[in-house]
Amino acid sequence: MDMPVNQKAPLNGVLRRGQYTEEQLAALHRRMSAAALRRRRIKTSVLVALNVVVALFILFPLLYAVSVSLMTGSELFTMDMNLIPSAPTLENYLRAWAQVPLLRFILNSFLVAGCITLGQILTCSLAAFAFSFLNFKGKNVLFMLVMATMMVPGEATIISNYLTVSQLGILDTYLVLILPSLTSAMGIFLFRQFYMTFPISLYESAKLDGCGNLRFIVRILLPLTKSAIGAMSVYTFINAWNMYMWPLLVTGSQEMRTVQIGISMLDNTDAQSITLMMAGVVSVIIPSMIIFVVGQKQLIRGMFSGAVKG
Amino acid sequence: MNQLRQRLAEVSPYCYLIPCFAVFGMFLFYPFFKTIYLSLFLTDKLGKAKIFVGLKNYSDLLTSESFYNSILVTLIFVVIVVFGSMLLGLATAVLCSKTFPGIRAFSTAYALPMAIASSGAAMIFKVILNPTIGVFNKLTGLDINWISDPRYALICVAVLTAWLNSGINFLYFSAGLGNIDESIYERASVDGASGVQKFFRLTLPGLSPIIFYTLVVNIIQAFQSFGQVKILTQGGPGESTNLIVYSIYRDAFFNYKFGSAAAQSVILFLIIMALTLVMFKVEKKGVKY
Amino acid sequence: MAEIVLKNISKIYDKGQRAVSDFSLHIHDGEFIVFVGPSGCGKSTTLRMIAGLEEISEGELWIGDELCNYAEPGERDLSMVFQNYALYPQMSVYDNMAFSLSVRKVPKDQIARRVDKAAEMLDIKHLLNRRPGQLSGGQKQRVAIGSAIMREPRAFLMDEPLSNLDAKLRAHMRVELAALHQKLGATMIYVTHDQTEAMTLADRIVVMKEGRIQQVASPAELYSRPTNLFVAGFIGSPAMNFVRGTVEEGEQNIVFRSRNGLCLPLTFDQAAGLWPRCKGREVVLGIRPEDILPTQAVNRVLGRMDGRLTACEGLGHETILHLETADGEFAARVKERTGARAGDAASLWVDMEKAHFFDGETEQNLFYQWSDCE
Repeated sequence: MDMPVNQKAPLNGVLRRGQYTEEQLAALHRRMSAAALRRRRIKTSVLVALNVVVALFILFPLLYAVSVSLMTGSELFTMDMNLIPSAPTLENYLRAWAQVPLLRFILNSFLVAGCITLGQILTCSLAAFAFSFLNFKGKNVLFMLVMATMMVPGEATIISNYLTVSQLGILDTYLVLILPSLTSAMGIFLFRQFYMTFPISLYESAKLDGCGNLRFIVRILLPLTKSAIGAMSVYTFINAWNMYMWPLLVTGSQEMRTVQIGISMLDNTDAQSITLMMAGVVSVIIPSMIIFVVGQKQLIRGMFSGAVKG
Repeated sequence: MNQLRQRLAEVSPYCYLIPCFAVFGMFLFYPFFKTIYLSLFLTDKLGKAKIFVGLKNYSDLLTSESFYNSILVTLIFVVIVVFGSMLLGLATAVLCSKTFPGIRAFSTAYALPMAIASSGAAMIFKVILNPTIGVFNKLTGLDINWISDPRYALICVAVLTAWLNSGINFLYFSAGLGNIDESIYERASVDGASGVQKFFRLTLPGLSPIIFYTLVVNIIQAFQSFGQVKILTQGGPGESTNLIVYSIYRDAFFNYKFGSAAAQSVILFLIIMALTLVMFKVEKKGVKY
Repeated sequence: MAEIVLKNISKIYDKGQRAVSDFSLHIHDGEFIVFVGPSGCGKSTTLRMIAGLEEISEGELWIGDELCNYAEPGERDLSMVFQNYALYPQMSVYDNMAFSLSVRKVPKDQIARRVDKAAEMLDIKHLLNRRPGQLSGGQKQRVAIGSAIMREPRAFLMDEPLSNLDAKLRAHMRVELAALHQKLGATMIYVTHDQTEAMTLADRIVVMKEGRIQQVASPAELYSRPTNLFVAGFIGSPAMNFVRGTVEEGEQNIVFRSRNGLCLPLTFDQAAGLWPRCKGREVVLGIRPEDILPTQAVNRVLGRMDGRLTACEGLGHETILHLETADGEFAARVKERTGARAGDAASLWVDMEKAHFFDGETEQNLFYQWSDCE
């Protein structure tokens, strides 16, 4: 198979049709598809590598906290670079839980966050129902009012709220932790957006069948809103769990402390205490992280289905 | 009987609004006005308004160096936080825009900071930034006492806050990226645009509505940062991290000057309102399609 | 402009499923060629392979004598119009059209001139400052086409560009596209599922089914000489009527006898071609609605069908009669105003000369086979 020199395939792979041999073509195909495969693999690997680096960077504080919480105090206090404990121990956790009533704190936070979540779901869905299915005077004005509350920063009200509750004498109770957070403008907005996607005929046909409003809400509406409720629950629970300023102001006794305040009791730069402190922090972060990871899909779907706007 | 029924029907919609407006009324509307009211008084230790001083609290603030320091510090803080967290959120969202093996795990990781409490995160950062045994100094070989150095304390608190906010920004930007129609990228490929050109001429403009929304949310949130300051620096060293929120807290609960604290709250509220209005005006002029 | 040659192109996905198999086609310079077929037949995938948006698993793609299998979409010098127009939402119409040139750093004055020319041609000059969000469907379509014209590419690729428009607008745009092709003389590769668009626009039509080419021919040829049952049934509206049966010796001549007793005489040529070749085999007879006559016409070999009318669709210039017989329902297209009404018993006459015959098993046309030869 003699090939004249001037008919050799050019290196960049651009062949002229009719001026090639079968072998040249096959060889070119092999070479180019291998190159394309290689390029794709490299692209993916680079992407993955970049992601690994960035993810490590973002997760670093958490990973470091876990690592320190598993170290002994003496191991921490060296000049060497030690990121990973050489002999991981759960000793810090045991001591942290013993030194500070963490169990009580966690129970408190669970109770408070749970009640807040339930309360918000109730008040927000009722309000959203009224805003989307019913017609009444001043509906738009009232809704604008609700939305306006999102613009008011916490600082504008926190002092007065403190004074109010202290005058009511309910400081240092579960009630004072739960009450102010029993509703949220964002929740109302979320539920309303969701309800607006239902056809009005859903409500009208129920009314024609003689179904009262409350029954409609409980029997028909709520079961259909599962995903919005799921999303809101995750978001509200995590935020309630992470509350810091309000519990700091209104609770003082050990029994009533929530987790975030509670672990700050471990705040100490003393050698032994740092590992203890990290153990406490990790213990408190874990529930919120678990709820987040589990409810992540729900949360994202609920918050961003059509709610993203400019 | 019918009249009663009719009355009931007219009134019943409002009944569904009672629970939420009760809470709003008691813990949002009332205290909002009460704050304004308090700001016009000097108070006793229990917070009862005692002496009417009109706008004196405000004039005192506006002539106090400490207050201007707070405002300056807060503005610098907000700029660093918003810039940093949005950049980080954008970067992570872009990294997760095309699928690859394991993308689910990475998405979870990037969004995770939103589940972390500011106080817990602050305690972790305290250890990381510890001058002697903190891993940061060990890694970089520097020997700076970060949190106790008035030059760097604010940056530390800002970085911490940026990290905390990057999670929610990742979610916003991911949603924004997902809203961009795939086919315009295909068309751009056929038109001959490079990856870089596609990013700057298609992706970023496509994100502009969500960028604006995220900016507003981030700014409002940055102004309300408290836990980190309380745990890391308590407003110091030397007032270099005395953000307005912390200053309000200190004035009210350590100095018992509720009136002055209330006045600061009002000023802070006005600043945020002004910023938001300016941004809406700018948005109206810009993004329009 | 350039010739485009596809040789044995295939698209195979990871799990081994073939979206396109062994697609070979020689597209001439300046030709308007249409890929048509039902959903999922691979026509869009083939177009995207030509554009470079999908990888070619097997075979070669030659554009203007250059092998383009591995060239980036932007290097192939093609323009594409998408089904949903794919207009850049944040850019004005002017910038949308200018985009493909501005990414190649073409000087601004040249861009301005070309945008002006294209906008003039498509009558969208008054829209240049608007955003896509402010345009109607038809206007968006014209902007998309205008953007494609800008680069004066070697060929235009169009992926169902009219599918999202309403019927009237679609008919109007069809005419405009045909006029544009005349004016530009450009090679156009057009994908659609609508056989009417294919028939009216194409120089040649490629009929596809399940990833394979069924037939490539001009609209007239496709209509009168379909190579198999699928093409025969796909092209033409209302669709061709089919009856299954056998070819037998009748009393005086060879006849086609259906399963349920319909007996149709064959012409001399048909008889010669089918008997004794198809003795004992199942044969499918196909007849187009316009070849079923309401009255006995002289000088024609006619077959008689009896049955009951289930519907009479009066379209004004013609009527479509639906006749229910023992062998199923037949659609007939008649020009005359008949007094017939639904429910009446009726007899219709099949113009046997126009009948098509397909093998019952292989579904191939027994008198004509299209072959894929270059």
